Amino acid sequence: MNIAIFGATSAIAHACARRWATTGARFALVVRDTARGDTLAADLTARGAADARVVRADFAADGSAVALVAALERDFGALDRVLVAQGVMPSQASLAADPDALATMVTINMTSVLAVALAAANAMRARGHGEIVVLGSVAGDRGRPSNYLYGSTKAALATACDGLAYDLAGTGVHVMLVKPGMVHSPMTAGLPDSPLFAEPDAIAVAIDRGLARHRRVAYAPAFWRVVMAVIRHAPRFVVRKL
Amino acid sequence: MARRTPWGRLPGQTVDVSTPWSFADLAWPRAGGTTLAFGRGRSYGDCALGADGIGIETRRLDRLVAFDRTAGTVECEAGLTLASLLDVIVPAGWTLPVMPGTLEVSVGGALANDVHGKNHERAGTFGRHVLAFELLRSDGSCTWCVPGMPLFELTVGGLGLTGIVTRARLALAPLPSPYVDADTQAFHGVDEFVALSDAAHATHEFSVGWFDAYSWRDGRLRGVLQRANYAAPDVARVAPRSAARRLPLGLASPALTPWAIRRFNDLYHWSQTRPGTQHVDFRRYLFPLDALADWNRLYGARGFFQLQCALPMEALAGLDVLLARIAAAREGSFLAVLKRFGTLRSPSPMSFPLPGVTLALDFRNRGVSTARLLADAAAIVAEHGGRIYAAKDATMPGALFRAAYPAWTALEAARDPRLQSRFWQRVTG
Ligand SMILES: Cc1cc2nc3c(=O)[nH]c(=O)nc-3n(C[C@H](O)[C@H](O)[C@H](O)COP(=O)(O)OP(=O)(O)OC[C@H]3O[C@@H](n4cnc5c(N)ncnc54)[C@H](O)[C@@H]3O)c2cc1C
Ligand SMILES: NC(=O)c1ccc[n+]([C@@H]2O[C@H](COP(=O)([O-])OP(=O)(O)OC[C@H]3O[C@@H](n4cnc5c(N)ncnc54)[C@H](OP(=O)(O)O)[C@@H]3O)[C@@H](O)[C@H]2O)c1
Repeated sequence: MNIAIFGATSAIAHACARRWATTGARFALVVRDTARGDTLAADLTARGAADARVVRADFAADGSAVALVAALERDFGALDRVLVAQGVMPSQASLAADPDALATMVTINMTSVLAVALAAANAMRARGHGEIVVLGSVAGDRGRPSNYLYGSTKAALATACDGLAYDLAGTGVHVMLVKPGMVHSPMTAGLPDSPLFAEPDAIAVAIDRGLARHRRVAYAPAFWRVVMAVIRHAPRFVVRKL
Repeated sequence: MARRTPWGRLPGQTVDVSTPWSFADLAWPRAGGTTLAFGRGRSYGDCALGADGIGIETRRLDRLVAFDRTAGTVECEAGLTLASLLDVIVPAGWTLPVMPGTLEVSVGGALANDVHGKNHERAGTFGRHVLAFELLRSDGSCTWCVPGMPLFELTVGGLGLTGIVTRARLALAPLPSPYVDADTQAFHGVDEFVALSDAAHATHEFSVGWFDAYSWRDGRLRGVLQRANYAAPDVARVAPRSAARRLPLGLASPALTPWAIRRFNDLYHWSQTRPGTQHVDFRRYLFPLDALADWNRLYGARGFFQLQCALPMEALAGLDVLLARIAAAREGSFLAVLKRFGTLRSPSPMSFPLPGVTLALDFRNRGVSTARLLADAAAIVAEHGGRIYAAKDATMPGALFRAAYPAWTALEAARDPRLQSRFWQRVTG
């Protein structure tokens, strides 16, 4: 199986890749820091990956997703699975104060993610099979005072994936939006510890389950589906305190 | 920052750790301050507690660097657990030559305590199978250490004090089968235990003795020796027999007493009435307690101690003196462990095992009476030329430590000035 992972140094993506490596999959790891990409590739190879190559891209700078996917299809092989994991979560205050920072986040979290997903969808559609996994977030389910700007990029992914799934209906291509809750990762390293945090591997398990069951949306871990159902319907005076 | 507690969960024994995702993010304290690596916190006492209350947790530094499936060597980051490592190497037909009683320990922790397993007579300690490691020190130096180098020898069994191990290269052992063939033999005293263990050494890879500490009376006790070998490759796929007959014993612990008593009585009875071997998954057999997450919490808020000591062959009489004292106190776990240590030498001058016998049992923390009992136990160990295992210790007197581990002065000289543990302050201060 040929797997391309965008934002492959992500803790969640790494946990997924470790599980997939044991089946002898081949990996194209798209990262901005190739030294860390090489460490990752070595880990996956030791765990059984048949191939793990590192490709450099900075999703804040170049809008080259289409060219990137085309190059992978040509040089690496027909993509069977694409995981799109890149994302940043700057503080709400810094985003609110700086429109450039906001634009950069939108580029990374939304534009680059959708560009990759659409390019992959086109390549896969022609072949009649493939899996596209996009990392959204529970933060996209409701605007909360502490992180609604970040959350709005994730809400955009949810809307887009919902639509893309209609586009792909009947083509044999499966697109799945994953909505993790709080996960231990470099992105959340600065936040206070809480029992609600999940291990990256728990997200990987949920992703595998969602893929096996052809889910269009997968909350991860699954209990967040219930939590977010409550939060989505909670009155505003409750959400204000979250 | 997150708060961590070692396995014994004794009051006041906590450390605030940062958990870097890469070695580049690893933060040394400012001048004058100290820190310490924290692995998986499976040491019982204070050896993994930074003296200044802070530490560097290695759990996210868990990448494999290389796995040579032909030669049987692996290189990995030091935060990788032995459990995760086995998940990778077992399907390829390899195992670790030395494994402690739980797999939830990190490679760095196994190295820093130079851990031993149920095959000590045949394989020695963990450090014997370390081919090399990279050591990061607060002066910014990053050195690959190999056997023969003083820094290698002092870091193995060096309690995390010489530097932070970032990566290690380990020699693996071929795994003939993921199953073991195991049997049991009853014994009724320390002498009989030693005789049976020495006989087992010739025929079996693994052996460990369990005994009913409550049964001790004038040197007589009820115990069983469990022996096992990896199964032959051709029977590898045979399904193990039903759980009820398998009865691998867990670690001794008062919190698990009802469970343990049932298991032990079954096993003891079985060893006498149904000789023969059982065919068991090696991980289920060697690490039964790993299936029970966080069993240490069962002891409640005051936590618990484990006493693990080793006495040399010529002073084994000391074990009965010790057991008499424990029996008189009516404290301690129902189940206790006896294990014969062999003569294979560790590369480390600080390693715990010595040729002789080791005894381990748990004590719920009852306060003053437990402290008195542990002090008496330490005195008995000292009198008989024995030693106590730092990985399990929270109370041993400094004098006993310094007498039993004379190389401590060399370790102190090699200690990184930015690394210090509560244990080391306690026993050397
Ligand atoms: C149920 C149970 C059974 C056990 N059975 C056995 C047994 O049979 N035999 C045996 O020998 N031990 C046994 N132990 C003890 C255990 O193997 C040791 O305490 C081991 O060191 C724990 O590893 P850890 O990763 O949890 O390290 P920690 O307990 O977190 O740390 C132990 C030491 O390692 C140092 N350290 C950790 N990582 C690094 C690093 N990267 N670089 C430098 N120093 C580092 C720490 O500073 C500390 O000094 C058992 C423990 C339990 C809980
Ligand atoms: N952690 C959580 O609680 C949580 C919850 C819900 C959703 N998510 C989502 O899950 C995804 C993965 O996050 P994570 O938790 O695994 O955090 P992470 O480890 O910080 O992963 C983020 C990834 O995005 C990459 N990235 C960021 N900016 C980039 C850029 N300009 N160009 C290229 N790559 C860039 C990072 O690369 P570097 O490694 O080089 O920085 C990293 O690989 C993200 O989309 C995140 O929004 C996370």
